[in-house]
Amino acid sequence: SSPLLLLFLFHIIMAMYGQKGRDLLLELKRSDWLPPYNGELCTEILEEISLHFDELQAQISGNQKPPMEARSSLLLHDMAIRRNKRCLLAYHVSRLTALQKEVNTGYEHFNSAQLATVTAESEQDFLQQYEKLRTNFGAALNLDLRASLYPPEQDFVQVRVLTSTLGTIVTTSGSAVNLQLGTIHYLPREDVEPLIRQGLLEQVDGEEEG
Amino acid sequence: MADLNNLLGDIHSDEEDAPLATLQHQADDDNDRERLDLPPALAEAARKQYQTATPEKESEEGEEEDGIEEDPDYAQLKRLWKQEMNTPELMTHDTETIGLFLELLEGQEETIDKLPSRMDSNLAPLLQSIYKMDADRVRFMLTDMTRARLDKLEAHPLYMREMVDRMSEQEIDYLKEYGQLTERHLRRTVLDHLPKDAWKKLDEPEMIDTPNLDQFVFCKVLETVEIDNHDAQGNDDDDDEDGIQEHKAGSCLIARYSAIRDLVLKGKIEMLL
Repeated sequence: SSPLLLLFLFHIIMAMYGQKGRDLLLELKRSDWLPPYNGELCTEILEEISLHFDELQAQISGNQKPPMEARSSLLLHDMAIRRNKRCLLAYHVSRLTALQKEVNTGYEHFNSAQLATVTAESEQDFLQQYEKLRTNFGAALNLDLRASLYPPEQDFVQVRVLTSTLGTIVTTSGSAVNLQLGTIHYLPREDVEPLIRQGLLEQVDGEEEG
Repeated sequence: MADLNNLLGDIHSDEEDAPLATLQHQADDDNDRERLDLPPALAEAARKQYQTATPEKESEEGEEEDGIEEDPDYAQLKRLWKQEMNTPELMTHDTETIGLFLELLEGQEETIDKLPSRMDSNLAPLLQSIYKMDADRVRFMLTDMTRARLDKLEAHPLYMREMVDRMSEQEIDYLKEYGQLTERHLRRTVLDHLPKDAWKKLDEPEMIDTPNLDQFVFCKVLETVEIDNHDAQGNDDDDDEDGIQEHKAGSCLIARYSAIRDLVLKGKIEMLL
């Protein structure tokens, strides 16, 4: 019965080729924004690739051309390696795209401390350099690429302070404004835009609500 | 009932008259300046003031839609911006117009600060805010357009290597650096752990993804054109016609971008927001 057992085990292993790649991408798809970097699963997939590679090596012994029957198995392993590679690349590139977007909108949803819990070290290095790249590009043109995210409607906006952590800021027109919790101020739009985006201030429309 | 309607009418006309009244009052105070006509739009007021005041300022604030020579540039900037936002592929970089407006923006702050010394102090803040709004608008268009272009470069970096003739110098450098950055990252995480070189490649032909040129866009026809509606597979289940349609100037369409691509690049069709 041991060949049967072996066959059974072999069948189970066979059925799992490509599963991990799929799991990796499913994890990405199912999360709200980004799950923490799954370094373990990536390593496992890389190991699976080397397993495939070992199988390939085993079949190409010496310099003789492998027999016809072996061709399909060689093709299978090659395609499995390519598929795993594709899953890995897709995973990394999607993460980079999502992270870049976050950086570009001025850390709208997550600040850099929160990002640190979700990203791997390699991604953090990437983001640092990416941010520098973008900022330098904008500076060369004398444009702040993170400002002006919406078409300008008004020069000044009325805002209400939502947190007590802000203290005093200096506006572009030079005056110092003390931002205490609950106070309402009439400030230049450009000073206030990043703070609104981060949720620290709230724009008050002209209409009174009761 | 009739009284109520009239009452509301009175209230509205009162509100309209109030700002005009204050302007009139201020104008009356300047005896040495020409009296302002008073059209409703404040920009009109500023323009008249500006035209009767120092004419040598013309070179500095070109973006307002008053000077005859500067308006086409502003319209061009707007057109560039709309196009960039609505096409899936990168548009040709218009170095002239963009350079012009970047320069104008730089001079703008100085102009705004100098305004109070040049004219009556009652109107200066008003004009300052008008010029500032204008500068903000131009800045927004430039920034948004630049961002859109960079996003397109980043979305398909390998494909963009072939579209280099549409980019400015700095964009080409940006693309190179971004490509290197991404490649380094992918090597570090994935590719260096792969067994053989043959699998380490990033730019095999099937691996390069292109922007979706088949997406549908809103557009407006500027000159009468003929559009060939056939796509590569000839999937025209709805139309039994030839597929070549003629569209008169001024008509608005929703079209597949690939069908109108050449015409957009030649300037015969423009994008609509």
